[in-house]
Parts: sequence; C-alpha cells; structure tokens
Amino acid sequence: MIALNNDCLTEELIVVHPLFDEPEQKRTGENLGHMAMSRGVRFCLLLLRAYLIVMALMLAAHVAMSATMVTHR
Amino acid sequence: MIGMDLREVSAPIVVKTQRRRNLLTFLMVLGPGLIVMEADNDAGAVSTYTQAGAQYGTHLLWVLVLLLPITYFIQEMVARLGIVTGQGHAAMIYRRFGRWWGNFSLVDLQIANFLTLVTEFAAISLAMSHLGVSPFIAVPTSALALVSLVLTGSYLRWERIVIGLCLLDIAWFAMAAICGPNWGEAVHRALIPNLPKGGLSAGLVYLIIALVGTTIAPWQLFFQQSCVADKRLRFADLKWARLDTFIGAVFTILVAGAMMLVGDAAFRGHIKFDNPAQMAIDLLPMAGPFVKNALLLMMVNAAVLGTTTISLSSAWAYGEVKQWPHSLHKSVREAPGFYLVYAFCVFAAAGLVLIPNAPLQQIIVSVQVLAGLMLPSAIIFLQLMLNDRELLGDQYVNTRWNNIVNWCIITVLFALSLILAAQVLLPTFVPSL
Repeated sequence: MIALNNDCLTEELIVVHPLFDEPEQKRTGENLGHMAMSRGVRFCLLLLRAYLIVMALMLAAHVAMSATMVTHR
Repeated sequence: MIGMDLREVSAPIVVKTQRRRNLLTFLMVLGPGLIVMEADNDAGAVSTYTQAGAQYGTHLLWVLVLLLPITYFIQEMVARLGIVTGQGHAAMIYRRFGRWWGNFSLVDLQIANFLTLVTEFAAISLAMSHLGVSPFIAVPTSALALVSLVLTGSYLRWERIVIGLCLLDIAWFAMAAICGPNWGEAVHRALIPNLPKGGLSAGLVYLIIALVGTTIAPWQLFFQQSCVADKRLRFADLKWARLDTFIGAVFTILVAGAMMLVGDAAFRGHIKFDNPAQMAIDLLPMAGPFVKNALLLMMVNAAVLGTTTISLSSAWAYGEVKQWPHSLHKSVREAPGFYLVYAFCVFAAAGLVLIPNAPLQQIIVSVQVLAGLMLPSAIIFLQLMLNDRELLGDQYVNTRWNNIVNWCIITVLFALSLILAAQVLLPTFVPSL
C-alpha cells in the first residue's frame, strides 16, 4: 500500500504495486449465502425469466420456420 | 508499468512528492480498464463500425458519443465490484444467486465466447490471406502465439504485451486522417444527433442496435471483474481504476470513430464491400498502400486482442466456479485447469475456422443472438449486486443517481436486445435490411 514516512528533513512516500502489496480483507460474501429476496430482487428475477422465455420462444419459432423451409425444399 | 522490469515493480518505490505518488500509483493500476475497453474493438467491431461508415458516412458518429458514458457506467460498476469483493463475476453470481443462475450465466458465457472466438479467427484468416499468407499458416501460428502469451506465469508480462497491442490501435487515427474526411462535418455530426437521408429505416435501426451490441459486450463484465481481482487491486485503488476505465472508454470510442471514418471513405467513393478486408483492397486506389496494409494488420490486431481477453474471461469464469486455481500469476503446473480452458477455447475456435465450408454465417448470427440473451441478464445481476448492502456495505453500493442512470441503460438494453433478436430470428416479421 502507500505509506508516509516522516523524518526530520524529508517526507518520503512509498508506493507499492498492488500485486506485491499485503493482501487486504475483501468482502467476498462467503458466509452470507444467497441474496435476500426482497420485493425488488424478486421482481427483477421475474422480469429476467420473462425476457428469457420470450427469447426462447423466438428461437423456437426460428427453428420451426427453418425446419419448414428445409422440408419444403 | 511499461518499461520497468518485474523486480523493479515488486520492490516498494520511494517518491518525494504527492504528484509523483499519484502518477506512479495510477500507472501501476492502469491496465484492466484500458484492456477491456480496447479489446472490445475486436474483429466484429471493426466490421460493424466500418460498415456503419460505409453505409451512412459520418451520420452515426453521435451514437458512439452517446455510448461513451454508458459503457463507462457499466464497467465502473464492474471494477468497483471486483475491487470490493476480490472475486470474479461468475463466482459472485453463483454465491449470491445460487446454482441455477450461476450455471445459466456460465454456460451462456462459454457458448457466446466460443462462437465469438470463431469469428476472431475467421477475421485473422481473411486478413492474412489478403496479405498473401495462407490461413493454414496464419491461423495455427496466431493460436500458438496467443496460448504462449499467457503461459509465462506472469500477470504483468501479459498485461504489458496486451497494453502494447491496445496502443497499436493508434494506427486507426492515421488511417482515418489519410482517408481525408470532412473534419468539421464529422465533429458536428458526432456532437449533434442526426439521421441520414431516408430517416429511421429498418436497416438503420438494425445498424444502431448492432453498434450498441458491439460496444457493450457481455464478456466484458466477466473479464474486467476477474482481471481486477487477479491484479489484486486494493480499496484505495478504486479512484485510479475508475480513471483507467474512463481513459479506456474514451480511447475505445475514439478508435471506433476512426474506424467509422475509414468506412466513410468507402461511402464517399461509393465502394461496396462484404467485409473490412475487401474494403482494404478496394480502398487501395483511393487511400494508398499504407491504409490497405494497416487496415489488414489492424484487423488481425483487433482479433488477437479480442481472442486473448475473451478466452481469459472464459478461463477465469470456469476456474472461479469450479474453484480451481485460476490466476495468470500461477504456472501451468499450479493452475492446469485454468490454462487448459484457455488453450482449448483458442485451439478449438482456430480449428473450426480451418474446416472447409464451416458455417461461419450461422455462427455470426448465433453470436448476435447469444450476446443479446446474455447482456441484459448479466447486467441485471450486476445491478442487483451493486445494490447489495449486505455484501458491499454502505460505502460501495450504488448511489440513487447511479441507480437511475443504470435502470435507464438496462431498460434500453433489454428493448434493443429483444428487437435485435427478433430481427435476426424472425426476419419475416421484423425486417432488418
């Protein structure tokens, strides 16, 4: 990390590259488990599911139309 | 820290002034933001931006300017999450949303990334064949070089080489200048939104959506967060990581603008082309041999940058989820799974391109659909995690202002992704061109 060294004459600032610095305690969330399902979180995930279903339906329609074209050939 | 050797960087450096300390710290932090942004100008981006210039001249430059804050806002959140958690994006989705969403994100990412890699190698093959090098030499050689790039067991070495490749993109500015655009008109059109003659046609909407999809890609979220974690950036580095991301965003948008200006030369010369390599050949009488050769080489550079970053995002994500050792600091012996995933992605994509009559067009379409599928979902998870006080604490969660901007971006991206998917999958009902 960055340290400040004062002596009686000069001020010295130490710069350390992040790769070679002391490891920090991060907020990894390891002991937290899953995110609390508040109303907002639940709504977002519901919206995401709806979006994925629409995409899947479009993909299915695309496959069905391609298959019909191949059959007609 | 370009120019310093690894031993110099590993030792603490003593400086006398605050200004030097800030500059040095910034140079040490610089990397993930610049790389993630510039690598997004990959082979697909070269194709989309030059196509936009060739079809509409400088009319769509304002879209790029509009995308600058959007791409910065998204990647800033990624950098913040990476610094605070010290974990990659895939690991955090697993941890906070469970197995189902974790597996969905991982599988989707891996497939979309792999298909994108195929398009990168297709671009290398195309550009090098126009430079007189057989694809059977160019593609395996570049695949070997790309795997060797990460095998040194040093994050710093990889980062320096890749930053060097990013800076090579400055050549796009020279190419744009030689093509002689009308600078006044270009600046005016970049700053004031305008539409070309014919107004908002289906083809124009499709191209605008393609520009957005090219500039903001799902793998970027996974890559930058893992990269920040692998570089072990500290809480105090956040402001420098933000600056790194901002500089990367500005540089990338400027390079993208230069690509559009090169495409604009084809527009002015009424040149029609199927791909940028063809455009380079057709521009020869108008712009000279430098532009032709530089354009082909920059296509290769774009593909190389895209390949190393996209493969790394796959390898990091897989390693995080499988809880394998997954770091560029580790040797092949220490992290065999991580390097195996990277090498597999590179060699398999390169091999597929060399198969005669490989279905490249279907692959390009699949990339667009999968990216459309992936981006809104990845951004939703990002936004939810950035509002997770339990995880980040009050200091690092999104502010109200962040959330207003982000929800606007997410709404627009959802709508654009749906329109793009509809245009690609159901062209009969939703025409694109």
